[in-house]
Amino acid sequence: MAGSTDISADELKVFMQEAESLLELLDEDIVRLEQQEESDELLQEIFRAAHTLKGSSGMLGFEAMAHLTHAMEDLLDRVRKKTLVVSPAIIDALLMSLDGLKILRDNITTGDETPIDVEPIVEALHAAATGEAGPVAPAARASLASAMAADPALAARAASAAAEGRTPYVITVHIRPESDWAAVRCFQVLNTLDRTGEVIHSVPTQAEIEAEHVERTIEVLFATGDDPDELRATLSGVEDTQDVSVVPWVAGAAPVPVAEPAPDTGPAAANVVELAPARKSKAAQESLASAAQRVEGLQTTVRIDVEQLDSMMNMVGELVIDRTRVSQLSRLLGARFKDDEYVRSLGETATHIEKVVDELHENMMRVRMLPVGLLFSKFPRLVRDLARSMGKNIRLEIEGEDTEIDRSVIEKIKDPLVHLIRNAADHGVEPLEDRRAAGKPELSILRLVARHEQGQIAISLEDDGRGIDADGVKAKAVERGLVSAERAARMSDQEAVALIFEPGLSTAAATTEVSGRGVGMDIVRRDIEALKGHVEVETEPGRGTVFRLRLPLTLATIRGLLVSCGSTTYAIPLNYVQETLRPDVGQLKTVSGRSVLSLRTRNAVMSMIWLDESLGVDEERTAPRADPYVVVVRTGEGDHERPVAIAVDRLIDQQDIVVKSLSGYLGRARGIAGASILGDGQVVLIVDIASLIKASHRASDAEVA
Amino acid sequence: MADGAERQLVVFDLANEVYGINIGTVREIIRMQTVTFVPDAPEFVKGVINLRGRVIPVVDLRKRFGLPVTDPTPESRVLVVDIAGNDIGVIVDAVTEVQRIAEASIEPAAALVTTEDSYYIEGIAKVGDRLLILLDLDRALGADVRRAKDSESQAAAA
Repeated sequence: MAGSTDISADELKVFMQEAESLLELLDEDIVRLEQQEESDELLQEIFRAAHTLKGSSGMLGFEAMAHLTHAMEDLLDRVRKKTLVVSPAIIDALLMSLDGLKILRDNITTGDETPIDVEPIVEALHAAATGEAGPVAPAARASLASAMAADPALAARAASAAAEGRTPYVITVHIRPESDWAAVRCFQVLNTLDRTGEVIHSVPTQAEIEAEHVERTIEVLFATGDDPDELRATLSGVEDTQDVSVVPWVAGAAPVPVAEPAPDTGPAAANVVELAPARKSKAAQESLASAAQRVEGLQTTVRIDVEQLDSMMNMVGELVIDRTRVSQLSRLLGARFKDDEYVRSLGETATHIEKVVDELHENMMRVRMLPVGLLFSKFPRLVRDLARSMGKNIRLEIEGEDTEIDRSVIEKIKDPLVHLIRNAADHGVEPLEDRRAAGKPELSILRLVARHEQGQIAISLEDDGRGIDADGVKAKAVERGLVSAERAARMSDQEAVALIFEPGLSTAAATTEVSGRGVGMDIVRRDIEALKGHVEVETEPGRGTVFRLRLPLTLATIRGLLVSCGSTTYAIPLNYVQETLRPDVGQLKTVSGRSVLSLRTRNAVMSMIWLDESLGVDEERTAPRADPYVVVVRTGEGDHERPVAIAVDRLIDQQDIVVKSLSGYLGRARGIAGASILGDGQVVLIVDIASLIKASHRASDAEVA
Repeated sequence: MADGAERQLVVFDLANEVYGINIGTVREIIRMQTVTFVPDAPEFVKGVINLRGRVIPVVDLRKRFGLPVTDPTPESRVLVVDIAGNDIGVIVDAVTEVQRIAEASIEPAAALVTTEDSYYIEGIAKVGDRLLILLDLDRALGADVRRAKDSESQAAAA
């Protein structure tokens, strides 16, 4: 086995990529395994993932990982072969191993050499693999074979039954894993058999069944004169049974070991009807087919390093800038040397470059799009863990996981979404007893839906919990001094509920008066707004709450309106812009110390701010400030939407601009969303309308107060 | 310290003093660019510039050190340095040379009187009859980051 130091960088990269996708697969599948009834295909997929990971980690000398996956494989093999039934303990052990694997992977990534003790996890896996029947199970897994080996009298009784003209059979009946009544079904099986012949021995025994010491399988050594087909039909008629096998017992031959029903029953039971192998091979074929599909799919796609993708995107972004510059220059040259052949030819080339670069840009954007499912797939596990830890019964339903969105957006909506889901599970969904008291089903449903809507992505998270109590929120907001009592009294419920997004309020405190746990909806809103998106909440007391998010599809480019104040150029995201106008002097007024723009024709008055002043830019101005252009922007949401006028010295142009983040060194600049580089190399700042308006309101409120 | 050990410094002028920084921290030296002012940024940050398609902040070192601020001259240069993973431009009056100096000629700052304002001085080197101030730019410009980290780790240790 190669030591981990001998691995080439390429080998490691391939391994890490493989491990990454296998871990993702396991993450999804294990939770699915718990939710669905165990399907052969799913089990096979999980088993194969663990198996592959074991192989490759072993080959590269990552021994802890190989050791852990080996133990997983052991456990999964038993589940796959139906000698174990999926139980919460097994799921827990598997999830625990998955977490362990992630830590191991991270250590490999970071080159952290700290040895990690996987032994406790391995032990948990072993315990889950062997301890399914708990301490009540007699030594290891009792089987008919071992019982008969231990007691020769059983074989003798079978032989004497055969001598009397009856046929001894070894009967194996599996009880469906989802059945809650394994003991009852075993009892029914014995009862049924008792009526038609002699039960020589059974595992579990009658006494064990009565004590409910049963597994999902019952084996019976049975003698009868009846037709075995009829026997099988009768047994299959017992509720919750499956894979009934009736095999003639032959003296001297060991009874079919039940531990390996899948491949090993093959030869022994070949002459007997066996449902299971047929079904299994079909499942195996299906999974082979899907594997083949996957291989075919692989041939037409390539994996690409995210960093490489980002650097390509950056280069395309620069090309877009240069394209604009080349077009500008060729227009200028065209104006100056109208009749020059070369200049005309340059103009044509520039037009072509423009077209190609635009297409390249568009394609590049598409390449960066990923289905939100990549992110959503992490949530069932989260919800499961939350629900389990809180003793609630919650199911997450996901819709629209194929909806595509820029990968940079995906990364950034993870935290807010996790926060919303936690909140919904923790505070939205009532404890079981409350739900029962309210006449609601114990199982609560969280619905996470994504879809495209008008060039944006809309994500909603809906719970069927207690809803948010508007009056409670109001009271809390007044108590914390966020709004005055008079203002609160005038607020609609909708407005009041929206207060949960204000710093210092939490839905938990507002609805249940439990502890002062900061739930941090303000942070959710801040994160979403930083993405130039918005979030709103709608609630119906007793029925549930919906959070709706709207986000841009991409952060890489925006359409911007270029304006200038003094000698500085700014870009205002066009999606905020309602209109631009040049007001008359008479339309600019001052009302109680604030500038307003009054549009009498429309009977509208809106507050007006100077762009540079609200950004805190002090520039010496040569021109008097009486003759501005005005950009009317939308702010606020839904009912609160109101226009605000932003005064600037000049309107320049509309342009697609590439958004560049400001260096983290600068910290969070108020009113600035980022920067962009224009065709002439000039750096312009992109205005963050939401935070600009908020800041200027705060400032003017302070002045008035 | 081994005999004959040397280090290479980028030597620059700032308000009539001569400074040196380790050449390893300097990515490139460019001419003065048009600077776009960024509101709400630290006071000593003059703004941002376009460095071949990337937007990087530039620091006015005079302002950082509390020296009188002057308009850029044709001699002014921007040293692009790496501070804690961020590329940052540093405006200096002029870059004069790259110089090798012997480690032995450096008087460590610990031996000098250090005040809170001069903790980013690594030492003083005597080169001929000139005195060269060795700057630790990491400390001078990454100070806030570092201080925050220090207080964190102190809190953790306590």
